[in-house]
Amino acid sequence: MVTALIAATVSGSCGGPLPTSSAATGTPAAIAQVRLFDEERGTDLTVHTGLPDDRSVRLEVRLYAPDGHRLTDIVGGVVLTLQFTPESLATALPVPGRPLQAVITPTARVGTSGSQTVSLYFPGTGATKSFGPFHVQVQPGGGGQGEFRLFDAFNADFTAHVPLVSSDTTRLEVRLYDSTGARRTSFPGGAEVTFHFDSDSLATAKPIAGLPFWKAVTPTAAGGTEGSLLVSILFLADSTTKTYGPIQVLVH
Amino acid sequence: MAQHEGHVSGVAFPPLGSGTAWLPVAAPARGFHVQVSDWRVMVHGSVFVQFVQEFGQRGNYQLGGVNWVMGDASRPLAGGVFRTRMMASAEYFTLTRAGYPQLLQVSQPYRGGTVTDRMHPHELLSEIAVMYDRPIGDARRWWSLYLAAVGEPALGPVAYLHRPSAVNDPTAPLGHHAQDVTHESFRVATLGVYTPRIHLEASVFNGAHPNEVRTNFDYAGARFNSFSARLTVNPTERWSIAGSAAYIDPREHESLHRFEVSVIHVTGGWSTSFIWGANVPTDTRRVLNTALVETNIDLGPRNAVFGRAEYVTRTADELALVGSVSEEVPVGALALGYARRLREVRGVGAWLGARGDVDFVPEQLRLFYGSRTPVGFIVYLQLRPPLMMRH
Repeated sequence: MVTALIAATVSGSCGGPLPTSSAATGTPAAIAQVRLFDEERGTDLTVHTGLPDDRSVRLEVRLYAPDGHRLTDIVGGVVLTLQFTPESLATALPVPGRPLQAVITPTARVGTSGSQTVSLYFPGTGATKSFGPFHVQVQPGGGGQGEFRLFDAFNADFTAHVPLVSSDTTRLEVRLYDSTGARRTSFPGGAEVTFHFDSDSLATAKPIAGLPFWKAVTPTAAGGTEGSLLVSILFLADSTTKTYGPIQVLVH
Repeated sequence: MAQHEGHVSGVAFPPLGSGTAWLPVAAPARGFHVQVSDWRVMVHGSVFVQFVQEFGQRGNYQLGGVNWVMGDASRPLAGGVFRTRMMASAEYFTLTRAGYPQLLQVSQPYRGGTVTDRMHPHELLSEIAVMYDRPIGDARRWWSLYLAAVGEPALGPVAYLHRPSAVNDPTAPLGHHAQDVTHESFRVATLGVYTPRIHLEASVFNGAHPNEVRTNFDYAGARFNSFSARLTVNPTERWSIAGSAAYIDPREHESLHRFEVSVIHVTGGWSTSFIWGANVPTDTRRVLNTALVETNIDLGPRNAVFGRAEYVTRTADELALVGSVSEEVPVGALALGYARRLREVRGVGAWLGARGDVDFVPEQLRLFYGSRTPVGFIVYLQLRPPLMMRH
């Protein structure tokens, strides 16, 4: 028995699933926690929302159950409102068709700090819930644009749109660039590239041996299905992650 | 009883616990020892095969393994003692990258997201160091230099893995990140002076916590950006009292000051540690206290009981609950355990143990943990080397 136990442990532990691995539909009462993300870059802004003074940020509010599972759909719907303190810190505009997103534009000077409160209104029940305050600061803008591009094996630029063909596999390459526009090909410690499709049933992305920045993408949805792709890159040297997208995906 | 070979016995080696931290001279030392020419080689370690079950909404279960092995080789050199050390752990593979379930532990990055209520695995190589100790004049005063590619600065108590009061407990303290988390820092240099009873030392080190990939060397951007100093007094063979302070630049978030006081007592088969540690972020200047009492009592050679009580001030960020709970949340934990030696083969003892714990959370955390007193347990089989005898 001892040998079996040790063998099981050495060969890799087993345990329950992590909350990060699934999402679900929930009721308003099930929402216990919210986290804030930059919808375009995928960065977590919960602890600190830095607002560049030269552009708007599309903020996404993600909802979580008490056990940490993400709630992607709320029964009866939800309406998001953001309140800033001071009010002069920034403005928030709703995104049509995206009830948990808002476009935030700073209206204060660089260096101004404050907070934002997330209020959720549930039309189905008439109830409201508030979360926060979350720290906000207006920061100097600039940089970070154009650092990511996506290509297929024929060097076609798929950064803005990924056309997939039913039952056909497309090889996609992630290319990264520095602020001068020079392509970066080496990363200390390496990097892990992950593709996330929305919906999950849209396509699969499999690694290609020896090519860490390439993925073999095969659509699993029917022709005509539309969705999006987020590309996450984990830089192993410092464990930071950058996420790019969403990139429009269409299955032909 | 076996003891560390310290100054009291007239031998050059100080009573090292982890890094350059001291244990009481009377602390039991486990491991294997061989003499190869001028080299004195010691190997020790601990392997737990464990099943963890944490209950409640944030609970989880896992069959996994906490483990580490340490090698230490020393020899006389140029009038002093030269020592090399290496410590390794396979936890990245036996616990997975996410670590093992532990309610209220500090949340950690995980595959681009955040995972909560789990203790991270240790680095594959958590100490690679050289030390040189040399007497100043007579043999009662020494200076020492510790250089580590990865190792432990002069900060905090002896890491929990090496404390005799935690020898039967596979679980990390909830206060780990305010007490002894720097025990696997990449780039450390420590200069110290000591007498048989007093040890004064200072370190420069890289304050970044290792990233979630535990098999690499986290040298990218690693600089000597953090500083610490520690004073240890061993008034008798049974006591070791230490206090330390540090400025730490973790790189991934705001810099902080850390303060720590520890008292370790060993008498016969009874070892007890009292530890207070606090993080003070330089931006908020709020004192985030942690306190721990842990004890291990050997009831003869085959049985032992152990326990740990903790108080920790958690931040909402540490629980990944910013905006959902107060910025600071006091929590507590109480754990009791029992271990029995099943058999011993060539000095390696196989111990079967169990540990139960109850956590104490305020009302605002009830929603997340399902109770104000969430509970959990661990059952384990531990393999560990024998006590070493005084030479």
